[in-house]
Amino acid sequence: MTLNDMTLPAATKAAMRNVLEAELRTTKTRRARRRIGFSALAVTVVAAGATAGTAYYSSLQPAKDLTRISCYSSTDLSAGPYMTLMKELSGPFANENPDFTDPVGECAGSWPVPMEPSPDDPFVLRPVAGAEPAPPLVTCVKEDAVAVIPGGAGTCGALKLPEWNGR
Amino acid sequence: MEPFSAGRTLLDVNTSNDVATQATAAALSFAEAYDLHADSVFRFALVRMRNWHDAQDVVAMTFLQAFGDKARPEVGARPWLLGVASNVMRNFSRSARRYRDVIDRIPHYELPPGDADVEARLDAQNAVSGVLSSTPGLSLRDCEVLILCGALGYSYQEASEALGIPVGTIRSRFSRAKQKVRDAHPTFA
Repeated sequence: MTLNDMTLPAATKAAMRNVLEAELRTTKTRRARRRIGFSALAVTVVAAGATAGTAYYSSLQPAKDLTRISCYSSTDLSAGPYMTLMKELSGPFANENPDFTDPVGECAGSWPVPMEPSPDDPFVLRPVAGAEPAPPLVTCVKEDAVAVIPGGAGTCGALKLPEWNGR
Repeated sequence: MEPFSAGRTLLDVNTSNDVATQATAAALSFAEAYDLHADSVFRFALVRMRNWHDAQDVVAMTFLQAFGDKARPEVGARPWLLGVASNVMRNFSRSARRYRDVIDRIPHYELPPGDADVEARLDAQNAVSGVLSSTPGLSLRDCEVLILCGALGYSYQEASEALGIPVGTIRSRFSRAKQKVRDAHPTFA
């Protein structure tokens, strides 16, 4: 018997082979399952990302059915509109809907200028002398409303709102 | 007692480049690689670990590690497996902990007392291990080079691939290690 003749005992070699084969099979199955798990997670993440992206993109697009004209007195929209004109689809005021062909005119006509009592009749208010009329206004789309906001070109973009295309 | 094959000593070396004719690790399935090379890994581990049971554990852990990984390289299967075994032995405790539940399922060979064949095996193992352990100044790498090139007769090229050391370094290490063995054992061939 020499060193180079030495081998694993046959019984041990066969038993070891069986155990290792079984273990490697199990490991591969486990790894495949883990891979499937990771793939599912990746698909979920991608899908969630796509959904969020679509939602964000959609928010930048004009709403298909605008039902309101929201008039804002500043670009700080968090203060809320000073006036909202609702489109009535039915009911007694259905024929008195705001003019969606001229939202700027609708808002400018009701611009909140400071008012004071008229000297002739204290119960009648008139604009304060020297009060500024409505500034230049632009039309953007915010949710399902035409948002009329003080500003010029680029105001909608700065507020991350799409411009209203008039339809 | 003659621990080596006829005409071989611990200090001989196989200068042929037979590694090129071997199948690559990537080309072999677990079963093929195990049938072909389990004994080579076992012999390497036996001399290096100096313990029969630990050597069997090293064989199991080597194949688990080698074939548990995703891809196997396009290099000779035997030197690659010997390299994996070398790493397993260097981190034996950690590897053993990692694979303990698998190793425990493998029935270990019990040495029958008084068996002449078993005695001869142990003599062969002890002869080489004894020489290595009683030679001062041998590093772990020196021992591995001596075992692979000297005791087991692998070529410089194969030992180089197994241990991840350039062939020139293997040659010089082997030469220095041989000298140390001769110095410590003047009567050793």
